[in-house]
Amino acid sequence: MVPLILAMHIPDGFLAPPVLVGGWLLAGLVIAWALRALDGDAAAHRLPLIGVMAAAIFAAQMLNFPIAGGTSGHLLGAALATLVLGPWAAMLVMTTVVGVQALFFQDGGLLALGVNLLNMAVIGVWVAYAVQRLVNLALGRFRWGQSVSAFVAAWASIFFAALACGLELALSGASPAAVVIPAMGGIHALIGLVEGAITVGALAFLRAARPSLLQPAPLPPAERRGILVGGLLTTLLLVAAAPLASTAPDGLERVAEDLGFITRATEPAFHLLPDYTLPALGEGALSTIIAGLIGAALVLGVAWGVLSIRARRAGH
Amino acid sequence: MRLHIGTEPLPSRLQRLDARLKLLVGVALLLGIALTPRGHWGALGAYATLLLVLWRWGAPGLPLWRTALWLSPFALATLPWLWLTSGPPMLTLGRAGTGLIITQTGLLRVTDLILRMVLSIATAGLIVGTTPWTALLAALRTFGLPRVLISSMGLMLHYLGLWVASAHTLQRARAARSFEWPGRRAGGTLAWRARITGGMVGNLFLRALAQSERTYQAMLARGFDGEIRTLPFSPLNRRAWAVSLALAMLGGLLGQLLP
Repeated sequence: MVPLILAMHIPDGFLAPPVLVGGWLLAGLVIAWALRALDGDAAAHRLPLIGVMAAAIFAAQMLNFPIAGGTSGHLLGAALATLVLGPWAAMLVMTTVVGVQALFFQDGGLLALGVNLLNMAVIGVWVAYAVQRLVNLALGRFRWGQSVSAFVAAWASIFFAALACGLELALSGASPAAVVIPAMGGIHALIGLVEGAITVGALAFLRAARPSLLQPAPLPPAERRGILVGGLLTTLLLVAAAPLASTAPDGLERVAEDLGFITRATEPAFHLLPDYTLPALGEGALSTIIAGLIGAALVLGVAWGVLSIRARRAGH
Repeated sequence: MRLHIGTEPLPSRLQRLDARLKLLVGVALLLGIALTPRGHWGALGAYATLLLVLWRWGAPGLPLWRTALWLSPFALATLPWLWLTSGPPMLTLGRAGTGLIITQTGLLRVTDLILRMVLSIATAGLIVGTTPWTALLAALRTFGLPRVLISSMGLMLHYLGLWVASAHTLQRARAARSFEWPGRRAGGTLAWRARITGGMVGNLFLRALAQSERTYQAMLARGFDGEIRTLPFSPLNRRAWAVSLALAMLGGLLGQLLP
């Protein structure tokens, strides 16, 4: 049985020095913040929890199940740890897991550890947390809403960590951006489904066995601001990287070209941002970045509007 | 992933060396390999020779070749450069005109990336394969890694055997309660299998939560005050530090000095 491997532990030798330094700086800052939040008596109390849970997550990654065609799926665990322990403790648990994997099992490089921590212990955890909170805002009132939010959060934690991984490899020149970003995103979009399914199964068990463990805490204003700032920073990073995307036609366009029916496509009634560019600025990188920013603002506006209507109806 | 926790490294010259010195020289070598400009084949060859000498002299019983040849899936990610890097064509895969043209520059680029990866894995393998995990953690603490992270890693490694055994027990129990019927697949639908695996993971989580509480109470009872203490390192003489620093500097600069 071949396991569906989470290809996210980048080894040494692939990443360019600026990317390595950037990874250590960003991951170091956020992890230092988490360690500061854990100072004092809480640290002594939480220490065994972090160590023992890290060992349990490592062991849980060995629990796989057959999927199809001789492949099997297993868990990464960032989302599950986040939904059970909260983001700060989960970040330290994942830091411990990823650190031990790099230091003692050579799963990921020692110099690349900063970048691997950024992907799995920071992005994986905070994306899961933010997505679960946001989806819960919209669907939390339904009985099935909790499962949907956990599934989407677990899927997103894998998908965004993989995208970050692809972006880092592309920025380092280790692999062409047009190949590695879609490949990492595509493969991990499927692997994320396994992560989502196992996470939902684990939460269903915990809800049945220990319901008090999963009582959702109200969202404090500081964390609400954190989610907003984190989301905006991620959006800006992805929009800035948009010019790296391939200019080759997408799958459907390529098939249409090859089979000769591309000419049957009709033009839309109007173009707002044709081919993800602003017509006034031509087709350069700046034009793509500004078009991306406008698109992101439009999506944010629609989501904000829908959530505002829902909150007003709920009487908040 | 190599699971060698719980087994002591084989006795060797490198195993007897102080963990702090090994870590210092090892990290310098890794930095040197990472900072070597592309196309400095002499430097990469020198790193390979140095590692070979260190291995044969210091830990000949360590199956380093197996570690170094363990190519990560990331090696596959470099392969598109074979045909996406412009340069003099070497070979055409597939039909002329529509096939992939492998270029000489592309081959050199991919070789450079994979060689760096193999050298880095071999360097880390030499450190990890010749140092007990307790000594490696203590050395990391000496170099300033936060106490909470060192302690949590120590606890994780301490309990790893227990939870890996628990995971295997859960898998054995699942296998014992599943059976194949001629013409029918065991284990239900994909969603059912995922839910059952999730249930096993949840079970492991719940046991770990209870274990962490028991561990904390036991640690408190033995006077735990937030720091897990280890035996202090014996002081190093100046000669050992000087030799290690010289080796570390050489390792770090080799890539810049050689063509």
